[in-house]
Amino acid sequence: MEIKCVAAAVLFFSCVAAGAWQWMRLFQRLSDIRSLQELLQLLRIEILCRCVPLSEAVARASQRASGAGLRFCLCLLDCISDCRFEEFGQAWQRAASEAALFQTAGAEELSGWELLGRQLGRGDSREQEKIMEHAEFLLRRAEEQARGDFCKKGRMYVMTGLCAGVFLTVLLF
Amino acid sequence: MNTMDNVGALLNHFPQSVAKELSDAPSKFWRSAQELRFRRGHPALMVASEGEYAFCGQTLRHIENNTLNNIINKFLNYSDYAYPQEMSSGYVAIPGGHRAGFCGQAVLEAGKLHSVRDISSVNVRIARELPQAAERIWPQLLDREGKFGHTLIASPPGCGKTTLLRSLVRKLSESGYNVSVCDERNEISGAGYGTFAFDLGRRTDVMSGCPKAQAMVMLLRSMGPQVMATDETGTEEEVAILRRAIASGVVLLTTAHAADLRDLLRSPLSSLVAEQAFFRIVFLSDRPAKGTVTSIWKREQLWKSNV
Repeated sequence: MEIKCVAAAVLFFSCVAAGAWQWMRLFQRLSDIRSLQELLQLLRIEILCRCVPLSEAVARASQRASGAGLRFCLCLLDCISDCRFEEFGQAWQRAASEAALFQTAGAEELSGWELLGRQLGRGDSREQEKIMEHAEFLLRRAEEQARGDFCKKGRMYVMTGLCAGVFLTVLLF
Repeated sequence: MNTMDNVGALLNHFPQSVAKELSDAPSKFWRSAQELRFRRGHPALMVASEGEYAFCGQTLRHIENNTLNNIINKFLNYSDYAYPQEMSSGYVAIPGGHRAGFCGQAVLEAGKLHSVRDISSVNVRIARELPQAAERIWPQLLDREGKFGHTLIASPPGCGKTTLLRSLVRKLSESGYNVSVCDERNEISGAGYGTFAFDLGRRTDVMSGCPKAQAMVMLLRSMGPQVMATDETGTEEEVAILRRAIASGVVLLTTAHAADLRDLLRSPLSSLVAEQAFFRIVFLSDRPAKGTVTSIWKREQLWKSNV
């Protein structure tokens, strides 16, 4: 009987944990996108208002960024100081991979972010504004999608985990 | 700073693949290198006193668009938008006092040059520090009382004007003069990342990266200079400010593009030359070697020859 109780408890909590883990992934994706939106705003101020070079803009933005944005900034600054790249886009791409950005998201979000890195710094302020507006649009769309997923799928995963746990426990007894 | 150190620091400003191939050039060429020339479709060349060296590495034996763009992007810190003045003037100052000029397809906006795209050539001029360059002509630039007089250094491009100017600024500073330097292109001081690559002396104040006419007015008002030094004076506006500086009792030290006195008299500086404003005019040439003083015109000579 005791073994049965322990097994039931293990099964129940495993199912709940699996549901919660899926919920956490969705939450992480949402908060990553939000912190990247915040980073983009900070970069926008540095690039368009202060007109500082990209490396300085990233360094300044890193002082106020948080979460995935901060993680990305630190990786990017590392890549820049290494100088092991031919184009800024390569450093940006490497930093995105080192900071494990969009690991919980689709390839579309990652490619949009990498495209921003390839275009950033090329052209005058007006072109930079257009590039950043486009990136903001992509991130806004990704945020809406992530928020929708979090609200709908998040609750579903938690409830499914809970129900599966109860079902297996009842089945065991 | 040691010349080879300065050259080594220059390589850090190139993309990695280009820097690696540039560093493969024989050190005898690097020691006397004056220019690095990159032209689309041709091998990169190093121009040195020893002659020309053509690079034969994978990237540099045949320069492609991408390589030229990467070089300029690296010089601009991958941030074209932060250097609108450089993009419209066709040159970039590289920390260390070096300068990269570029040309390609001009982009005009309202009839004015806005930027250059499809870059076809890049010319990197390597700055050198020769602290003793001023010594051989220094006595001739002093009047009977041993005071330094208004001096103009003239030569065609690439003959060592800026090197001599830098050396004279240092000599003046060591001789007790307060020198203010208008360093529009960061070539005289080698300003970059908050430091100066060249030692201009302890009595020297540098205003870098600012248009000469504006910088001269600011320095005159704020730094109380005894000597004002500036490089490559050429516009009417700059000449007007030079005249104003002379009128306010400041001694001028400047350079201009001119092979001889005739060229000088065709330039915007002609009015100052005709007014015998300059105490000495030093002409330089690159033959037999860069920085060769071909002649020094004295004010009395100008007066006698009725310029």
